Amino acid sequence: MLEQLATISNELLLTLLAFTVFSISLVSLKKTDGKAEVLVTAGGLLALLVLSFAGTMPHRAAFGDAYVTGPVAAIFKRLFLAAGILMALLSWPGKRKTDVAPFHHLGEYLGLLLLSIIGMCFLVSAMELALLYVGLELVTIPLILLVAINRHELRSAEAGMKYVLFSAMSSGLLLYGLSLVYGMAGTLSLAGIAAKLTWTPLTVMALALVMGGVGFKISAVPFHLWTPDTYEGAPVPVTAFLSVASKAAGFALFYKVVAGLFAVLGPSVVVMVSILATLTMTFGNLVALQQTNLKRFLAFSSIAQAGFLMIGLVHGGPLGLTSVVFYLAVYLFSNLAAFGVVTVVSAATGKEDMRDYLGLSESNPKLALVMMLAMFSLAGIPPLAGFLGKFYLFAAAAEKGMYWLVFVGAVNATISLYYYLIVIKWMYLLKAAEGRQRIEPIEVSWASWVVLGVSTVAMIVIGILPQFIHWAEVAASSGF
Amino acid sequence: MGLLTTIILIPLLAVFVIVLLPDRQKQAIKWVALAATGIDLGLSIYLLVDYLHLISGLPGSGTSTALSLQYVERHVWLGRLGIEYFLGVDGISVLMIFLTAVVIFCGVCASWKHEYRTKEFFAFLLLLVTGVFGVFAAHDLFLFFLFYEVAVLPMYVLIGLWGTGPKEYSAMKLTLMLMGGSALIVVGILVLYFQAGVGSFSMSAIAQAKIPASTQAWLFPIMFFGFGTLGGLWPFHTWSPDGHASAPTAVSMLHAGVLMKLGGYGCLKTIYLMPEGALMWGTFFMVLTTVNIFYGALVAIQKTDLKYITAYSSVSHCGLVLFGLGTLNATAMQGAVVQMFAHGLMTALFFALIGMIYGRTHTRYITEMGGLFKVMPFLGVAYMVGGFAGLGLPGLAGFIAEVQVFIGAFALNSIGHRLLTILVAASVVTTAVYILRFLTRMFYGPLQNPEHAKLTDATFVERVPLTILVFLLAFAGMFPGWMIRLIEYSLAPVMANLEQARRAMLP
Repeated sequence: MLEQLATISNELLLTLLAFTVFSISLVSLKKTDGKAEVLVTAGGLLALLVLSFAGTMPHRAAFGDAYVTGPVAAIFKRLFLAAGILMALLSWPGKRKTDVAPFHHLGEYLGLLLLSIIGMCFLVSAMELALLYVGLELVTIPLILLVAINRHELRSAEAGMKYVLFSAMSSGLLLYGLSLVYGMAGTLSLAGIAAKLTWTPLTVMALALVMGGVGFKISAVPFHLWTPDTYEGAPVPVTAFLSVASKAAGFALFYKVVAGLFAVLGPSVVVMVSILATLTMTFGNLVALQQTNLKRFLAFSSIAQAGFLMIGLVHGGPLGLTSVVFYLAVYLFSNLAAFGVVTVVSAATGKEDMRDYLGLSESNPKLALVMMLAMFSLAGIPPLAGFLGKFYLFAAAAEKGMYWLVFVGAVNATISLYYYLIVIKWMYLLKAAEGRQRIEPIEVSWASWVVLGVSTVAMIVIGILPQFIHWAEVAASSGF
Repeated sequence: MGLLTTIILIPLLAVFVIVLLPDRQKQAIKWVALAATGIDLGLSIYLLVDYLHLISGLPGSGTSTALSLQYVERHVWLGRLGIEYFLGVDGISVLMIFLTAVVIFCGVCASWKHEYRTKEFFAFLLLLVTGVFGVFAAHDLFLFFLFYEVAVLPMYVLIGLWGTGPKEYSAMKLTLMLMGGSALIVVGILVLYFQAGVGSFSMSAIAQAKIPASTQAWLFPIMFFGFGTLGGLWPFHTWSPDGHASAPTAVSMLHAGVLMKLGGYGCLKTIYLMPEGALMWGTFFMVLTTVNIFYGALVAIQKTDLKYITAYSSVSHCGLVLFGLGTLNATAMQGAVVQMFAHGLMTALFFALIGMIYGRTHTRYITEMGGLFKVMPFLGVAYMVGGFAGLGLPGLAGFIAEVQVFIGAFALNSIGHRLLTILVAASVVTTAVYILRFLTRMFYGPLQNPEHAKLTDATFVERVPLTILVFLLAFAGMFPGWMIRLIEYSLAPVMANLEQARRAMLP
């Protein structure tokens, strides 16, 4: 029993941390300003992250193999922890004009964030359908609350409502698909199911339902409709977290259920995933072209990025898993850098439109530089990490012989470059002739600098130093 | 640290130094840029001389199909796909590195008066040059592609921020068209890698692995169009006139002078990697580039804006590079490489002069100029030399290039090819029309605008780049032996590859 609890020590400690954060505001006598909560959350997560590097993380299983921490799961967990730290820091309550995060509920807010991270950690380790589903719900429900946490703001409430409805719908689809699978295989264990499934029309139907359900989580087209409104309405740090950590968890889920369960369907899975990837990239790109609100813009860009990631899923083997894990890490830091700048600017001025960023390179050169690097990394421009990430995704499809998908991906990368450049155009190229008010130099808190600094350094070194891709490769070769 | 890494890293180091300097220190920023490019120029001259010395005792043409690389630096770098930090140069790369060093040095001199946001300008300019040096030095396809993109992207900000005219539009068009080209290239690189199956991105290794002819048949045009876009291949040249016309002086110099050569260089590597594909598609690209040569020259005749004239003449001249490569004939390909060198010097000279003349007259329209010889004889003479090199006058570098391309192409054994060659050779006349027209218009006759009488001739800082470029044009034209030797030696493996492919394709 003790041994089993030690296996899930990471999740147990996270739970402890979550309840500590919840209770800080309860036990303190005077009203807290939220700084203690942020520090405890970030510090606790950082300690767990360091701990995860200290332990050697062997292949360990608990609860009758329902829970397994393998090397890939370990990488995912580190990503979640890192995203959690950066998001907590982004919520640092400084002097600000608008509430990016709710001041007075920072304890609840960060506690919910931690609960969602716990769900993600269980999700990537789950090797059994029931645990997988419970993990997924634990990810989603706190996120719904987080999206709607500015409850007096209409946009936030609307975003929360949309997210509830679409999550419920997708969970329904997923459950329906999984119940069919269970009916056919008679076991809940992922490994057991994969061995028992055969090619029947019912299996294909189950696959379609599961893919639909998971498609919502990673906002793949045509299941993406909730994304832009939810991203726009949610507090900016929550949007950032949704777009990176929740998406990473979605991809882990996708890989587990689609690639893991339905390996027997081979070519059908490949065809469906590649069609989904093509649709997602192309549609996300074409709509992103027309956005001017940065949160909506980043929402569509993240849809397109999900499409790129799906290119890697086409390849079921180690190279595919490597490329997906690596790109998720790259995407996490690049997107957090972009959202970091959006949060800082939005907190100081309340402005979220890219046209308001006119002349940012002169008034706030450092913020503009970080934003530019983030855009280039998302677009896949060397020497930033996005380049190597995309190259690996394309390589995965090419090894599978799907050259047309590489071509589609490469063309989409060019299209995406166009709208990323538009952001740079507003920051760097255009002069203040259009009569818009410029953003004054912004005072950035130390916590935000940490977020921006860490993400920027990560964007640069991940693509140049060989260790990171090596980690992903070693982990992927031994599986989840 | 090897010589090549040093050459690549010096501009990058200068970028960091410039970023750390305060905005106000404009003069210091310029000196740092000048020092970095000056050191690189010195190193590249050393590289050139040393390389010539290295191959002086060796036989001219080998039968080996592997490029004989020098100054090799090879380290395992990223991941299990076998991506390496693999630098190495052959004679052609040495020549191109030398050209790049010359052009960027002259470019920095020509932007000595730059005042608006100086720090960022030189930082981006040097970043761009880092990429260009990298492309010419890289032998690993992944590294090659990485540097290629580094060389293309800073252009967006450079043109968009410091350019003139419809600069945002031009910058966006240029960037997207070139990145569209690189989308084709990345597909090509990955297909080559997996079809070769040698687990390495090294060009020699892939070339020796023999890609199946059926793959080459469809992959060759994809890669050739990909690189050709940057090389100004018709009908994907349209970014070039707009981009060059909008760009600031140093950027035009670098872009037309060196970046378009990356396209030609990439096409040459494509031929080396896929000889069978080249044999199938060579004639097709000869036809396209014939259009290039004529179309560029004919449009140049109609334009009155100096930058557009030069940009279209670049399209025409770069067409000759690709035409020479498309012939797959040793002599013509040599000519093509010489043309890359000559055109690089020539266009850099043109754009530098246009910048200087515009700085004085504040117009780029030749209709508003006239009789400028009287007020600016130095600039006039430099312009004349550039123009004569452009129309291929003997004694200047352009002549060596054109003659070799024509001779080589005419040696091909079919009536069609010969007709094409005659057509292309006839383009010399159209070229002469526009070059002589704008030279006459600008410099001869009475002074058109009385305001211009007060203008001064070139200052010392301006004379430095002009003198270097004019000297090199004449030197390469009168003593082409060293250049030919470099190129011949390095083309030998490409020709050997082509020869093997030719034999393999015989029934």
